[in-house]
Amino acid sequence: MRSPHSGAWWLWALGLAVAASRTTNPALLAMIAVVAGFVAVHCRSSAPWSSAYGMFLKFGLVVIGIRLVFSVLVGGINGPTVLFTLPEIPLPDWAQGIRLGGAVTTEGLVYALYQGLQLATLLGCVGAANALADPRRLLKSVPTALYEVSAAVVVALTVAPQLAVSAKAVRRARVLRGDTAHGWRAIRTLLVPVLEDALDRSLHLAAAMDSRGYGRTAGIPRQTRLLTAALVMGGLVGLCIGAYGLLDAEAPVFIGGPVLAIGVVLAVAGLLVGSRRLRRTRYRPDRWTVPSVLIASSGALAGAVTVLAESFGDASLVPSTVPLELPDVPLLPTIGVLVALLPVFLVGEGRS
Amino acid sequence: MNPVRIGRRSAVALTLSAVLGVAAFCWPLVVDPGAGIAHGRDAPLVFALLLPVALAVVLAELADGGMDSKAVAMLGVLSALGAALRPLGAGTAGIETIFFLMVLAGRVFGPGFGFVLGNTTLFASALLTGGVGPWLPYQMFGAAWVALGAGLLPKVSGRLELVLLASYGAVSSLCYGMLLNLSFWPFALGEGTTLSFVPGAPVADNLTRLVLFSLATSLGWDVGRAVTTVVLVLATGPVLLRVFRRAARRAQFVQPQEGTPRET
Amino acid sequence: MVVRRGYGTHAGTVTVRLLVTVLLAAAGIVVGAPTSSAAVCGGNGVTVVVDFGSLGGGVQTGCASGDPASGLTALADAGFGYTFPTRQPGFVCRINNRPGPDADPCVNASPATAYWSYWYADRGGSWTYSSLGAGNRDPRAGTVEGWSYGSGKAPTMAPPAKPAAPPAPTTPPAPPPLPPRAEPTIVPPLTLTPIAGSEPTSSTPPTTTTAPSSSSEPITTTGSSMSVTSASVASEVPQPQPVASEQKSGGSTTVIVAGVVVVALAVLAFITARRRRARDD
Repeated sequence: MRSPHSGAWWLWALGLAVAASRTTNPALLAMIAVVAGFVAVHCRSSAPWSSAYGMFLKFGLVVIGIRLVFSVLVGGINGPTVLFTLPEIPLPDWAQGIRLGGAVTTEGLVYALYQGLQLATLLGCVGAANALADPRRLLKSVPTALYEVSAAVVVALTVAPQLAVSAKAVRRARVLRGDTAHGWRAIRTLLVPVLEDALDRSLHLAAAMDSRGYGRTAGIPRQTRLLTAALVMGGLVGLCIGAYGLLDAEAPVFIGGPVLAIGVVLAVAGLLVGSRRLRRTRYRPDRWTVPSVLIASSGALAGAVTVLAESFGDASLVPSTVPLELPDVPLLPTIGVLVALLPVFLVGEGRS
Repeated sequence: MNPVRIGRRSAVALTLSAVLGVAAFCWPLVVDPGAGIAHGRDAPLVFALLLPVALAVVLAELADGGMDSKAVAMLGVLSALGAALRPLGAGTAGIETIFFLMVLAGRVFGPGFGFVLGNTTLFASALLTGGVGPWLPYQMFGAAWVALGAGLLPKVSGRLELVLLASYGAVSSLCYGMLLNLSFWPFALGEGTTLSFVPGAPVADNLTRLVLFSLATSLGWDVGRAVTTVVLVLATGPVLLRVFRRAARRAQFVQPQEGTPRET
Repeated sequence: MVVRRGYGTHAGTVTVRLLVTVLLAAAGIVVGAPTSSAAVCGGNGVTVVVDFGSLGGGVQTGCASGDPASGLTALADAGFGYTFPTRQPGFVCRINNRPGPDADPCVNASPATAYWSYWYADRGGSWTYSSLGAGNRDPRAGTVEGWSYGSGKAPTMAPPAKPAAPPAPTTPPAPPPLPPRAEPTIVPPLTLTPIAGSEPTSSTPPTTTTAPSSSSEPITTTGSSMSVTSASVASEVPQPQPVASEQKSGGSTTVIVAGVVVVALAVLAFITARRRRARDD
């Protein structure tokens, strides 16, 4: 079986992240984090980037810790149940409203915990996508209009490990010659040869690319060029106006989301039309196979169900902290999140 | 001749994307308290999805304006260098080994090249380390403008050039940290603490809280980044500028001008 | 705890509450009940005036003794329970569980036409609208705090004057004979929610365990000595006791089921990760 499309993993993770961003319910958040984690460890390949989930998980725990520390030190949301009281440090007038120390309440801590948990879960979703999606194959799927830039990134991904090898070689040559420079001098004596080597290599690479027909652009008619320009500029203007609409409550409703969507559509259309200036074939392109589509839609379902539950006013998505209540499990979103386990059954272990 | 030309269309696209970037970075200062995203949980994520669209369009425009194979190869190698250097500083407080490279390269190869280099370096580095996240578009955008700015600095030479680049590096890396903080502070700290973002509060109040928040969290890193950049620019600048200029000549990005001393 | 017949029932509810506390503390969560103090508004106490306005219930006053750190602490110390909107905590959307969930779902901040506005004043002075939130404002000792429900109008009752007769307009000598609202100054039971995790010192002997279900107990309890002012508005309105209206029965079982699923998946993921690491090595 072909491994799934890299974009499918990102869409799957994005769906889970949307679900996580809609709730602070610890039960649902834990469910999302665990689902993302299980799929990540089950479906990941053995590539170097596939350990990313663990790294993001640790980052998430740090975030929770930071939130709790801030909640204790600078206070904020506080309920009536005082746990303990820290000595309060008086601040000057210009810092009005900010306090250091003071009473620490259960409600405040639980609130900070919920919030931290939400951020940590978001990080977990992103980490799962990092672990699962192959960046090189994702780069192959970018629109042809970005061909030059994605080619530069591919070159970077290939050359970076070689640089380390090159640095080692230079170092060994130095040591063999009895040069034992340390500190800044060592960096200079190391950096210059490595850099020269790398830049020379880039010129060879460029020559090789030229001889293989790189950069031969298809002549495109003037009309298409004008169309591309119009689409691209229209898209950017739409993005700017849409951003303004998002930030200003007084702006008419249609200026926010709809104009943004139009801007994105125009910009993407511009990219696609602009792609015509290059004709290029892809070697073994990533295809949207049935499993890929199913993976993407399972994640999207989790997000969609949660958004729907929110719009129907499911109060358990955001449990009350003042007064404290035992969080209830939002049933539908939980089931939706469990559907996102689907990739486990579609992709064999380590086959991503 | 620059390796990556900024034509008229690219310039307009860059300007428009800068407007979007200002909104993405500074939204906490301008957001209307009645707006739907004012609470700060969603805005950074929404902009993290919008910025890549704008960046893609601008990069496509720059590529359309002409990016030959030598420019692509040079971009790739320099991005690789940045991506390989970056993990050296990761984890150590504030050592950021990527800025000096982009400032120097932007200076030699021009603003257009700098803009693309900022994007490709951060992107390649994130791909190599598995660090793609909602912060990546912001970092790419910020780094791209830092490198672009380095390409626009006035022409001076000799020691003065080094001082100019070092001080630009210090200022820009401090601003970069502050802007990243500004855009993610409501998201990272959450609501409710007394240091939290309050939508619609006077700008000065929010800035006070932001500065205190930065003081408590990332100021060490920001200062560390600025210091590292200054030290690295001063230490490696003379060598790197010479190496880059030679490479640019050999790739025929720049015609040797009369009166320029020949460097070997 | 809708009807209070005597101390026996009261001890029963206290036991239930204690049980709930233990149960929830075991689940990592502690019930918050407002700490209250006897409403003796001495020279330095902060008087809290709550005008229920269109909600009915007139104007109630309470007294927070000592020097409360914030307006919210004063409100709680004076014996009023409050609720934050779940998505925008920091605002107050309910005081003593009012307005009810049908009038304001308490998810986002209340609309500008019907919300709890927050005021402060010197004794005998006039009301000033607070520009700071109640959580961030530190009331000076011996001043008056006001809460008024509606579209942002000051409480209808003027701030009580200086305590010429020490216990200002508040605290009639004996608890008024209006049974539904006034619990006879129950300081001990309300202080039994001490610290998360620590064992609640059982101040009451666990005599009767009336209701074993943890989900029928209201969590905002607002018992304290509180009196309706003799001001003109003080009509006799039965104050709705905070009833556990939103608690769903069976909530705890789904929580347990969800917890089991989460733990099972986490263990599975852990085992998979270890097995694969062992195989890769």
